Amino acid sequence: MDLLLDTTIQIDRITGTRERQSAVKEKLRGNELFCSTYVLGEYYSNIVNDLVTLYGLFLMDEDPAETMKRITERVFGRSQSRAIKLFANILSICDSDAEQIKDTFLLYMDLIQDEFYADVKEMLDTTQCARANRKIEYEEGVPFLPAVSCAKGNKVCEICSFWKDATAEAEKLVEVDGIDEKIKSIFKKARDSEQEYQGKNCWTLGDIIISVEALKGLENPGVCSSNKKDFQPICDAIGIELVVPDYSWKKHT
Amino acid sequence: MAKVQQELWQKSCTDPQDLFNRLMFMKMEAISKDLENLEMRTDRVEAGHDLLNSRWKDLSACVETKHKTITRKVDQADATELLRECSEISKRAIEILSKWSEFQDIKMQIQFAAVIVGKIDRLKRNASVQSDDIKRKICTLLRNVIRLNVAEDLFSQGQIELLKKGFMLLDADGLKREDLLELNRELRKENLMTMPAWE
Repeated sequence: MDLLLDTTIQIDRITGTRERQSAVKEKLRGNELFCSTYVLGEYYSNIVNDLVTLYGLFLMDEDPAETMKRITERVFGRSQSRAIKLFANILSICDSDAEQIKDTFLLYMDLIQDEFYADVKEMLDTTQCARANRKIEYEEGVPFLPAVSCAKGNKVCEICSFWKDATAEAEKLVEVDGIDEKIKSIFKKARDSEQEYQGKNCWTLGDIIISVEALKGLENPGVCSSNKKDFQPICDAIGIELVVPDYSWKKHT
Repeated sequence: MAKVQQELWQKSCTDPQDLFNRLMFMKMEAISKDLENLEMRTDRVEAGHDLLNSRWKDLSACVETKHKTITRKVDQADATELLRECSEISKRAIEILSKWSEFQDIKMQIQFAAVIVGKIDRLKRNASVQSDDIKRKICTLLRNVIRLNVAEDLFSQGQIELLKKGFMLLDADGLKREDLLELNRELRKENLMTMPAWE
């Protein structure tokens, strides 16, 4: 099967535990792997952004204890748990030595950008996502991620053209049970104004965009995601297969 | 000239005012001459000063060139020494890794790993590694890979060969970012964690 890797799978196979990486590897074996610039954009906005931000926090004082304090004060939600876990692990392998910590962060800036493409046969680019069109940059040796302004009425990508070609799928999804009402509302409003597809609404439609990219861009399409709850109704509605890695061991730990 | 002076003198003897004028005139002439001499001497001093200045510049340039040459020679000697040290440490690490693969014992593995990490830390203190972004990153990658994986399981022969490859890279010239990324890809393909889990 031609499998489009979604953002959860990319994050799990790159930054997940051994068990997760092994479960993903097992699931992907024997398939042709694809990804898209849309997924890359989400990846940069989440995991890469978290890494660069965490390093920025560390550079404020170059002191592990202060950095931990700043993480709890400045980073929230999922990013906070990621930052704490990563930083604790880095401290452990670097013996809390500031120079080793800096070297490790700078190494990971390179690795995290490269590993996204591991075993990926082709990158789909129908959305021409602007968030994917950037790399970590350096000023005075300090890394930063260039900002992208995704907003309604600001054309920085081809998401409107993407939906113009996928009107049938959008109309079908409006009628499907199990699709979030917020998503249905965006589709209904977009009938009158294609700008509804831009900005934060584009992020809300992320799972659907990835599924439609697979449908339109792959010969024998499927999507691989660890987010079964959100992807299953979408994949069922548009008629493509969803592949989910087996994380059942998590329930027993 | 002497005849004219004599006539003037004879004339002046009869006219004291004229004599006074003549004396003053002669005095002024003498002062003018002194001034002229002084100006000539000043010109000569200035010319000497210019000459000295240009010679001083030549000398300074010469001294600077010699200083640079000596510094370069010292730097080259230092750089050669640093590279030699880096090469020796890498070769010794490869020897240790060869011994490591002969033992199938987790306790021995941990001891070998500790020695190798010590070698990497020494390499990271070497100025030739510190000034080379890629070599420093390869050192960090090897160090992290060993620390992240050493207590998990025994390293396979293939995994140890990749560690050796990393040390061989440290002994090579003209490394590119792609060499670092390629090594990381190979390590991951051999089921070694190169970054800790954070998801």
